[in-house]
Amino acid sequence: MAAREPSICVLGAGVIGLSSAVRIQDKFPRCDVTLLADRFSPDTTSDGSGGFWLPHLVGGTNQDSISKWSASTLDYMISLTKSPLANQIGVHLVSGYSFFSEPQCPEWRKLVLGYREVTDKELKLLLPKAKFGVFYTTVMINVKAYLPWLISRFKQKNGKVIQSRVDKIEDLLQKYDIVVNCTGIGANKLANDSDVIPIRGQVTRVKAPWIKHFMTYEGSDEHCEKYILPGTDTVVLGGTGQRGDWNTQIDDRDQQMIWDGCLEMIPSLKHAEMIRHWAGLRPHRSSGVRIETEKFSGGKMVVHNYGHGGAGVTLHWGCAGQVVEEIRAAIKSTVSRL
Amino acid sequence: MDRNFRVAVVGAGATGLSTALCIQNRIQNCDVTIIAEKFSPSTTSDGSAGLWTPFIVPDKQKEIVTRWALQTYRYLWDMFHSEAAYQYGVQLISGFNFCQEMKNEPPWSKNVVGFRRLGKEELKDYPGREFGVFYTAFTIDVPSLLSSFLRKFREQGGFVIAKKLKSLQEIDSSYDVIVNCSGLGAAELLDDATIKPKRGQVIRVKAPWIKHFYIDIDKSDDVTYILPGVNSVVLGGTSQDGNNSTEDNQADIDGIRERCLKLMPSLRDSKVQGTWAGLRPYRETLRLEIDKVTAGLKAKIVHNYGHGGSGLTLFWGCAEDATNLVLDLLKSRKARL
Repeated sequence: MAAREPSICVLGAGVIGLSSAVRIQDKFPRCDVTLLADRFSPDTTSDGSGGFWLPHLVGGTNQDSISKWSASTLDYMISLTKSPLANQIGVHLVSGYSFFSEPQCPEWRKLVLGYREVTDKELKLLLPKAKFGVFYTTVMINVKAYLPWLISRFKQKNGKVIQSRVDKIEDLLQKYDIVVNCTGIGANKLANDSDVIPIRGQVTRVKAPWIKHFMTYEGSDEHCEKYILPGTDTVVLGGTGQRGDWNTQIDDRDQQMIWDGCLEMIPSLKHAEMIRHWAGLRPHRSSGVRIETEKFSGGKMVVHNYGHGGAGVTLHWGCAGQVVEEIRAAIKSTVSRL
Repeated sequence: MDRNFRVAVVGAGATGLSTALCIQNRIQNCDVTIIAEKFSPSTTSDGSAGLWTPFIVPDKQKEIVTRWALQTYRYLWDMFHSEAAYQYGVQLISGFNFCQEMKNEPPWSKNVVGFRRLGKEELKDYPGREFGVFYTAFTIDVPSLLSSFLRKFREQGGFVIAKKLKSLQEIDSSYDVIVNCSGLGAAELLDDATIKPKRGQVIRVKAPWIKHFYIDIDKSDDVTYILPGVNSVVLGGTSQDGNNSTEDNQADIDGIRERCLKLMPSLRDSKVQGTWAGLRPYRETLRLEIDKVTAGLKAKIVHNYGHGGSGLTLFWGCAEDATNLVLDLLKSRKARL
């Protein structure tokens, strides 16, 4: 069998799929890489997200992996903020507060910039119901700008993009040597993984340009969480965390709860102009993010990269790097067996 | 004589309007009138970036200026966290101030949220800068602030007269106290040669992805700043002594653009909304006192001018102190009656 470069198909065009496609192209310039998905920006789950870097709702992913992938992603995003193209790419630095109902010592405190615990005075002035708070600087991504930028990068290096629906991943192995499965919530069906369950999140986007800080509050359960995230042109108000809820329709009670919770933190939001509501399904996997190679006959393989829960944006670049490692290791072992 | 105390406030910039409002709020049985040539959006305050930052503080007044600044900070903090933040144009914003090495933290730093020195790792992101601080402060959309102040002032029964005064003699007989908040206008109004313009050129751009302020004072004393307001980002600046031109200067504009782009490359994509040059009413010391010098006037005079580039940093503290002085004058008048 003549050794040739494997053909690669990345399935899924959210932030996970696109970053995987781009990093695979960068590392394997001689491979044909095709991006295949039924939905593209601005209609993916990623597009509706707040785009806020913070490891969150990652199920049972082991801490070392979370740290490694999130750090790699944050470093990369921070470097992009310094680029003249930062706005086109859709990344910006943002500072603010995260409040909690009990003291925390999160691993990510070492990764963000300028992390500090708030003083008692600040706590009393800002959110008296909270028991603990921190201030730090992180990155926010305007996903609706970022995904098109990734796709244009992909196309510039001769990546092929196909819009299509797939019923069985294995079918793609007839045409491609390696399939990278970045189907997010779709993996529940496509990878037959019942561990992938949605955690529904509803948000409201408003125009409130006088809000330059983020503010988040994590109560005793994930449904209590409220957040205010200043994006490029709109401020994202959230949220909800309904496990096992597949409904992507807007719920009026959720909307009211989000509104009340955010106004409690910043009363002047009362005068914010409502832009739109959205509800999406965080692709949560209780056993954690799945990055794993599944081997098939004929040297073919599926590399899984799904189950990022509420941390797709936070982990994407590091996970894509991990996928590249998986492919490199798999190719090496295949070649060495010939 | 049992009529209301009559106070005139000369000037309708940030200093004049806040002073007038403060007097209204704190003094009973008092009729307040604002007399000014210019109103928002044509005052000096309107063109400024509205930044709160007491960095350049006259040494002789260090303590009192610190107090005024912190009073204003507290006022802005409460305003931001109220429903009225948007109407008053008050925006909480954190950012970076790269400055000359400081041996000790400035006295105001303890009362400013999150004040800290930048670490070596952080400074690596800003080559050429060896020292800097990070803190949480404010930028104010001044037209919003001034229009809200004026609206409140009128609602509470205040009078407004649009008129350019050549001397205080013109209004002397109509008021018990005149509070002079005329900024650079004091040069003509009082024949005060100690107040001089310090020209500041700025560019306003649309760059809503920038969420922090950046202030950079390099060794040549060229100040560079990127100050996000509510709807635009102010790029600056210059600090030209004795230059009283409010015409835009292209060389200044080019210099500002070049320095800001170096600090923040993504500004390349920002759309220019306008340019402006204003005259900071600079004085070696800020004059906030009862006038004991000017002769030939029946009314008592309280001065509140000479804020230089710190108008929006000090306005509320100064307004409160000016009001205290007016109260003192009212008490001594009552005592004489």
